[in-house]
Amino acid sequence: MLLYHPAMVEVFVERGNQLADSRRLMDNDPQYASALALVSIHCAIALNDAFLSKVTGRHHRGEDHMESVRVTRKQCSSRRIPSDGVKHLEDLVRAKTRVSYSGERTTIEVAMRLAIASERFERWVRPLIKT
Amino acid sequence: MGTAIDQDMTNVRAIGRPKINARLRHGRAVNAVADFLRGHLRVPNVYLEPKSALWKGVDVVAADGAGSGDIHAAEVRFLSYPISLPAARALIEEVKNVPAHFKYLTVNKNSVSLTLGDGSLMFSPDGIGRVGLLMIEETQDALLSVELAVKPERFRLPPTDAARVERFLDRAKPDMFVRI
Repeated sequence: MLLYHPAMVEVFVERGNQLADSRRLMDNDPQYASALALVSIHCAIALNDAFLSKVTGRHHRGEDHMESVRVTRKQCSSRRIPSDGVKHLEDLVRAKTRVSYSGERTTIEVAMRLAIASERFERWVRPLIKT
Repeated sequence: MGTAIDQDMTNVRAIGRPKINARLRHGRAVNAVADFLRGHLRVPNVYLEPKSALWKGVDVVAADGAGSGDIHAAEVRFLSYPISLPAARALIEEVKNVPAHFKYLTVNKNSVSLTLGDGSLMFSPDGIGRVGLLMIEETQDALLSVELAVKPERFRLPPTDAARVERFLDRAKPDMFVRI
């Protein structure tokens, strides 16, 4: 018996795919530094929601995305899944407030650094969300 | 960029060109090569004159993709005399032995030329990999510019070397990196 709804996981995967494609399109383009940073962060959040939906049947709904990082770590620990990829999600979530709401302009270097973190998280999580 | 020291903005009155000894010259070249790699790679983690037996003779190491990608390593050599083809071959062989995907020899442009013969000595014996050549030029304002004279081609990194590089990357703190 499946503990999750495949359709729900699929929604998050699709969202993550679109954001990953956008990230690739804007890669290394200084004209889109802020957008690149934002899609990088949200791509990882969407793919993590796919992972949590699959393993728990639920995804994170609150404003505090760091809580979803904690839940992910806990799930990895209880299922003996190597959690080395989760640190990239944590870096992205930590950067989210600054990139989304602060008055500071996002540089292309920071955006690229976030894009790389997003890619690394994606590499870690993809095999775990295959249906 | 303009002159190295803006005398209107500082109280320092530079008299003539700064006297730069060999150590300063080398250090400035290392910085210039690091900047060059930073500008051509994808937010790399850069290590200056890494203190490790792994990087003997290497002046700049750059791990592309914030440390997750290919390894670039450069040696900086200021030449002050004509060097023969056998000496150039020895220099290139030294660079070829560096445990990196992309390997660069950096020499001063306005010195006596480096003899490379037909250039085939830059290639790996199996053709997978070519040593890149960077030229450093000192301008009239004592600024340094770096130019890519020979484009590097990616070498294979044997598994044992790859493991040693990973251990270095795990413990060493980069001198240049992008914080998030």
